[in-house]
Amino acid sequence: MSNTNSTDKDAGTGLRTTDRAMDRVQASLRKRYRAEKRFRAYGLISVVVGILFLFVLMASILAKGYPAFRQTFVTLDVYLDAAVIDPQGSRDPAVLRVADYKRLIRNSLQEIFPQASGRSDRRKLVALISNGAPFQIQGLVMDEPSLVGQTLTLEVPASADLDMLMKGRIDRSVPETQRRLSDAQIGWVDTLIEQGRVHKRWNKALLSNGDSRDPEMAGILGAAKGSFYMLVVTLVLSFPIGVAAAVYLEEFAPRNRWTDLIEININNLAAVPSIVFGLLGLAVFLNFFGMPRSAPLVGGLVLTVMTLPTVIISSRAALTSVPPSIREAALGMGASKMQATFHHVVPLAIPGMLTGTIIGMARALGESAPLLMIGMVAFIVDVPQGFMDPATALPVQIYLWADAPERAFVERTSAGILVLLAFLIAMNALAIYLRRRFERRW
Amino acid sequence: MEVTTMSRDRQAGSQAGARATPRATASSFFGSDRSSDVPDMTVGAIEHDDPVFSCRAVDVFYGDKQAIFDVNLDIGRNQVISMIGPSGCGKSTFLRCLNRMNDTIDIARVTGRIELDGQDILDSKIDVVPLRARVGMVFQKPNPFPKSIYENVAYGPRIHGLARDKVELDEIVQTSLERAGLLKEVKDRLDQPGTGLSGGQQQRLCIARAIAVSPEVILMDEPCSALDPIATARIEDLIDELKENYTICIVTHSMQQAARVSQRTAYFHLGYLVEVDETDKIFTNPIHKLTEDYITGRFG
Amino acid sequence: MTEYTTEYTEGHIVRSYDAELDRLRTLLLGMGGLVVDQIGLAVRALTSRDREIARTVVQREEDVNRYDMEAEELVLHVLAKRQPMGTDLRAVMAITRAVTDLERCGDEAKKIAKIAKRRTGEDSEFVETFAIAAGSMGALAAGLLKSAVEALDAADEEKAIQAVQADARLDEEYKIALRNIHTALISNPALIEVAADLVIVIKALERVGDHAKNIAKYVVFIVQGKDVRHVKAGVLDQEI
Repeated sequence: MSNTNSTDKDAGTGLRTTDRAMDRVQASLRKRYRAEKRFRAYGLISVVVGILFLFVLMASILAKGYPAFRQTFVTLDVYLDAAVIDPQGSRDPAVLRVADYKRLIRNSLQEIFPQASGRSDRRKLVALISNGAPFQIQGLVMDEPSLVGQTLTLEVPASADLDMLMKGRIDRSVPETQRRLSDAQIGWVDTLIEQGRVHKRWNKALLSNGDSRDPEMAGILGAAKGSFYMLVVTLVLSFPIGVAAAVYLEEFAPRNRWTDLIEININNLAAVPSIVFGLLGLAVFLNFFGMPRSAPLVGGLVLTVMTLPTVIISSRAALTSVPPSIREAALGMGASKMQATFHHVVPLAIPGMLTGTIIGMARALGESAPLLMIGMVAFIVDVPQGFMDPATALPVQIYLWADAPERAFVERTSAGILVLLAFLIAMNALAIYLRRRFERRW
Repeated sequence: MEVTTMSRDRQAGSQAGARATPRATASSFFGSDRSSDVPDMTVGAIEHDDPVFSCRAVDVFYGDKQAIFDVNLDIGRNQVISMIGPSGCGKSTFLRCLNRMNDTIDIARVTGRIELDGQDILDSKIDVVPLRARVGMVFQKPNPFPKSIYENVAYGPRIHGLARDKVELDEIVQTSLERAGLLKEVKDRLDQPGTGLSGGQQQRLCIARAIAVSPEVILMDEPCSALDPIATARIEDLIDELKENYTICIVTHSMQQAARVSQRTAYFHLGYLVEVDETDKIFTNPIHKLTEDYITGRFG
Repeated sequence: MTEYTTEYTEGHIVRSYDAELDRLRTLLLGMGGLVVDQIGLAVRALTSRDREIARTVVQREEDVNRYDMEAEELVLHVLAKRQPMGTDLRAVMAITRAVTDLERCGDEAKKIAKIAKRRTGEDSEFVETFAIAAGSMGALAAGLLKSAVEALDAADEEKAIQAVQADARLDEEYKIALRNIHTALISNPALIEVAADLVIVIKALERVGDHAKNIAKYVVFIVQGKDVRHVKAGVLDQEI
């Protein structure tokens, strides 16, 4: 590179010639490029490390949770003894309901293992079958009373201990007293396996049952529905109120000390620990208004209050990002302030508002602390049917399962996490779709 | 061989910094008003015999700062009046008074009297919404709505209830686009977004949008400053046509444009209306020294 | 606020514009000086019957034409490039017209010089008396032209009005000289050839005066923006 305009060595203090300037630039170039390369390397490393961690996390959750979707079933020939179920032969539903179906299972097992005669032996034998199996038979009989007297070959869910044995969670080599299953039980299981009576099937219960003491019967549906109802309430309340508040504060409200105060407060509320909102819910919704405890409606209300600041802040940011030329154009045409705002400014801000709302919703989905105070952190068995039925939430359920002592709940905890993540991904996908639809270029 | 040398009668004033003494002649060189300060009263022809706007004693304040000082001006019907002046002289501010767009600025305060066809629009009882339909505005940077071309033009008539049904609305849209000289270019893509047009086309779309509500006056705030010369020329041609049916007030930085496009020109200086007169006169023989300095490029 | 300046072509923010207008004025003055010179020399060639001087004048006419072309080119350039307004526009219009007027004056001087070349042999009383009149007219015309050009350069209205009024005197002298020629011709018809030439000379000088008057009127145009080319000299001061 030659410098044609180099006025040469102006003695001493004269202007720096162009030659020297270019030399300096050249000299610093190498350092600059090196620094840039280093910076880029750092960035790349961080990203790779991040992805690696994410991968490890997901892999571990999947590995731990996947087994929960498989449940061991035992095939039994159950004789529906009329003498046990319906001695009178009345086919009265009340009678059918309270029959001792467990006995039928015990009988069926005893046929396979006649040697198990003692009372404790019999108890240990039945312990191999889930406590929910009798209810399964009850259901069948109540649906079809004519089945009484027949022998059915049924697949009944095994107990959690058997399930754990099948999944290799129980170490056979350990001394008997340190195991959940005795040697005898293990022997019976092996026999059953030899007879081809033990199968692993898809664990329908996990997705269709409510919570239960018995791990094999425990399902996530109750929590899922509870979360769903709560999110519906939160969305229906926080989106309109948040958007309307943002529009008012940004477009219509006069700029004075009061509005400044409001803005500061909203910003601060976004950073308040979520359990405080639970206290608010307890005091206002439960004590003052007397709403039903543990209801998704109340949970939704509490989460709404928690989410509103996020929605308002992001909506305001979205509104601010709409260029003022759009407002001027609309006003200049004789549109009133309302028309200009709602016909032009808000539609352009919708993508940003949606983003904020989804962020708020995602946070609401994952919060359990505020629900603590209003009673949704509880062992609730029934699947809620409406907004007023007692319910729990997904993160709460996961926490409860994580806390439970049974071995089988370990995998179910991870499975619960997977369900929660699936929920989140679905919500995000919806958000992306909605954003795409509403996004306009200007 | 002698050569006659012409003596250049240079005064002492040609030396750097010295101020020349005025000549003894009756009419001094720069016209009747030799002061470098703004005149007490606007010189030229303020009044017009068929005014659409009649402004008297208009002051504009931004908080405590005064931006416009005592402007008196008539704006003639079906004519183009251009407002020129250096940056910050208040011409845009004054323009925005005419359709009360300064209302959107919290700290702005306009006093005085601005009569539109005899009715004072600064009266607080006046509804600005129909006012802005009568007095339309085109802005410096083309700002079509991010909607289809059809929707852009149809928005105004729709909110003001100017069309009874879709057929009438279509007609209004077509007429407006045609009057703005845009119809031929966009006839078969009315449903495409307005933002997809070129700069010049977008500005004509904004003009069509303003025309669609049948205004009396169209205000233009430096409409061509973001456009290339050809697009500018087309808009100037359009303005020539539009003045048959509308009154146009145009603020422009380009004196050549003001000279080309307008019949009357108003020169603003630091918030004062210094001179207003017929365009030809302003640009060939202005009365006030400030005007002269500005148009000859001596200002500053 | 802007500083008041007498230099009506100066003070632009773009200084090269100032330089261009200044160059235009310099050309005007140079051309004016040359033409005034030409007229003086041409008349002298006639009165002192000097063929050499006459030839010089005829040759120097080329210089006048060159001034003309350079000035017109510069005017075209300024109009296209600067789009002058207000005073600048009027000044440029006035100078270009003045250049045309000066070029015509140069032609008149050449005319006189050519006649001077032809008529060096004459030696009659008539020509003698006539020479004095021509000399006086020549001096008047040259002085008038000089004042007009200087007035234009300085935009001096007073000087311009004086020049316009001086042209009236030149017209008077022209009429007198014409009458004298007629009288002489009546008594001596043989002088017809000489007389014809002399009439051309005084007519040329009278035209120079008219051109000078035009140039002076352009001054009013620059200063006041009024076109007074067709206003009679007598009523001029009431008009402005």
